[in-house]
Amino acid sequence: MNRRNFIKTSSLASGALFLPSFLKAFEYKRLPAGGKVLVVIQLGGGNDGLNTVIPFENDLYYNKRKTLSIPKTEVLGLTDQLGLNPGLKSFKDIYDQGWMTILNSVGYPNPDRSHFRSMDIWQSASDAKEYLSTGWIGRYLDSSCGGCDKAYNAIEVDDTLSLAMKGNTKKAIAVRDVNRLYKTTRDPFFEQIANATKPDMLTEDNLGYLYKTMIETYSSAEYISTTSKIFESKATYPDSGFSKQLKMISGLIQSGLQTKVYYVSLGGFDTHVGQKGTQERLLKTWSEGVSAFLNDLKAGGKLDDTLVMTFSEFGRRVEQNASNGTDHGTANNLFLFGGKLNKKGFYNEAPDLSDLDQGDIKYKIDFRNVYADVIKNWLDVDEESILNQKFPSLGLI
Amino acid sequence: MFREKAHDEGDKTVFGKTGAFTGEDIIDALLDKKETAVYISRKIYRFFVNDQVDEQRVSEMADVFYNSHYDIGGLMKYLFTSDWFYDSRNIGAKIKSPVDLIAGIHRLVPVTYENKEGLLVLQRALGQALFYPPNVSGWAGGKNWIDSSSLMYRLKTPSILLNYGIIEVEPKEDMLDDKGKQMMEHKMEEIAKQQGKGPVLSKIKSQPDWDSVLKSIPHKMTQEELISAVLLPEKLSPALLSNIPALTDSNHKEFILELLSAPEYQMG
Repeated sequence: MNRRNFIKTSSLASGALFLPSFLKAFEYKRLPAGGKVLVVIQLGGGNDGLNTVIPFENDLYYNKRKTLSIPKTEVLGLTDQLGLNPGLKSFKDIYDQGWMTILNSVGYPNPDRSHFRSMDIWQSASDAKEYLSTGWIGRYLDSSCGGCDKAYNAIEVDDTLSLAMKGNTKKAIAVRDVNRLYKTTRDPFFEQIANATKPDMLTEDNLGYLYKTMIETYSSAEYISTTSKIFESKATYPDSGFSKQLKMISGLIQSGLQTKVYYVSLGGFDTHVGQKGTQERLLKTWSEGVSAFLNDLKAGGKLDDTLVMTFSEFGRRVEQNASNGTDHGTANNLFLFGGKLNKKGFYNEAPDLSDLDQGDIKYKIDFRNVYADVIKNWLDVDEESILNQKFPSLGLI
Repeated sequence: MFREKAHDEGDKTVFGKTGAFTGEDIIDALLDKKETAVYISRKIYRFFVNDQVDEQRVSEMADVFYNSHYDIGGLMKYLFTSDWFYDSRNIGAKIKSPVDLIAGIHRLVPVTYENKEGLLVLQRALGQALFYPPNVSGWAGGKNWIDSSSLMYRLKTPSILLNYGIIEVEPKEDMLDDKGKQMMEHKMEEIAKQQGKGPVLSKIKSQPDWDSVLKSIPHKMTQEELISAVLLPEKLSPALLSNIPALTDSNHKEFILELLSAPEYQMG
């Protein structure tokens, strides 16, 4: 007896799609023109910001990184002081177009050097000494984000959901592959449960919550799958898993999917050993993907409605280690991309390498100030209710 | 760790009392406060009874706990022997943690694994890798266990562990001849390669011991008895029950799998 036979013995083996009638209440609206979209890109592992944006006129930088510094001749100069890692060649054009803002020295007080903890701090937007079980985008969903109340209002392109995407009462949906999600939820087994679900079972208790989540996933999968067929991106992207994810997001944005936030990760930045080649390769994957994505959106007339934010859980120590790598540090640079940036190019000056905190870059901008800006000026929601504190916005967008 | 040289011997003021307190004195001062007993009782109530806290019960527990000078054993005995612990509204009211879920399945049907890492993959997909709590405050629990993807994995966990781990990208066997099956297998490998991680649950190779379960089921067990044995007192919704074929002499395994796959089994 295998499971297929097992399923066959149950009532619904046809696979024919039929939604319980009360589910039809889910309306399939498209995002109105001008509807703003946020794309968050997480660089996991702690990207070395100092070898990403390079202070190529700074002797302190070259002194602290005897074998790891990027020679001035290889740096892609942006200003007379700062330039990019050679892996970021495709960002040169993005910078010249005014589609990029770089914020230096972004961090938070009492920094934590654990990947997990620091990532939790960034994702939950908590203080270093505070433990929150909800994420900032989750709380944005909780606040009914200006009228949205569906799981698909925020999508994480992955198999499982990050803390950032979990609210108290609402959670985003994880979609690595639109067709796979659809197929999974149309497995006869799920159809059987979905079809057996009656409105009076969607109670306020925990069991009702399970049924609600089940039904919502079932109908979200249908909505995302149907809507995604409206537009398929024909643009050329580099051949990487990361680029495929961005291409999928671009297709969903241009299909008019009612999703306000997309979340995607690129990992591998924990470069303790032999950093140079690894980081350059990762930066290339990141920048080529993002550049293709931005150009694709530009061609589709959606660049002005899209804001991309890239962050990493921490930067790395200023001084390199003995293994031609760098160890966990603190403040780091943060990148914004889009067609509607107020501060094009560099938002603030490079980190002061002569004024360090025990060998680490001092933070000048709390990351929650950036979130405040994004929440208030891009997502149009009161930022204080989501960040639980007042953080003045920076006028970035 | 007590560092004698770093200890400040001077006077401190704690809860309005001043003196040259030691660390133990501070703990005593905390335990002296009834609030401490209430706080711990509330945590225990939430963990063992219901996410929805009944403050009246918590206050009764705190009395027992405080008056016994913080005897945890006594408190637990009071809890487990209280009538209200077995109230129908406290039965099946909690969402099982992923480990509760997996352990529960194991207790019903013994499972061995070809490759034990598979269990870790499963724990991670479900959001609870043992010994790796998210932070010092532990797993948030309750509704926090559930999101769209974790729920789908949870509902599939019984059939994955007990029915030879069939997962997402599944070829429709009955539609394929042998050549087609080979092509499909090849395609699945390619998909897994492209996605890097591959389908999350694909690595679990489990060997359930159904024979021992089926042998242990009494011959005359009725459908109702089997349901309450598997789901404990949780009631299966009538709508779902009507979707399951009735228990016969030869479909115990399928029937049990249906029960374990019901959302009601997620509750404990």
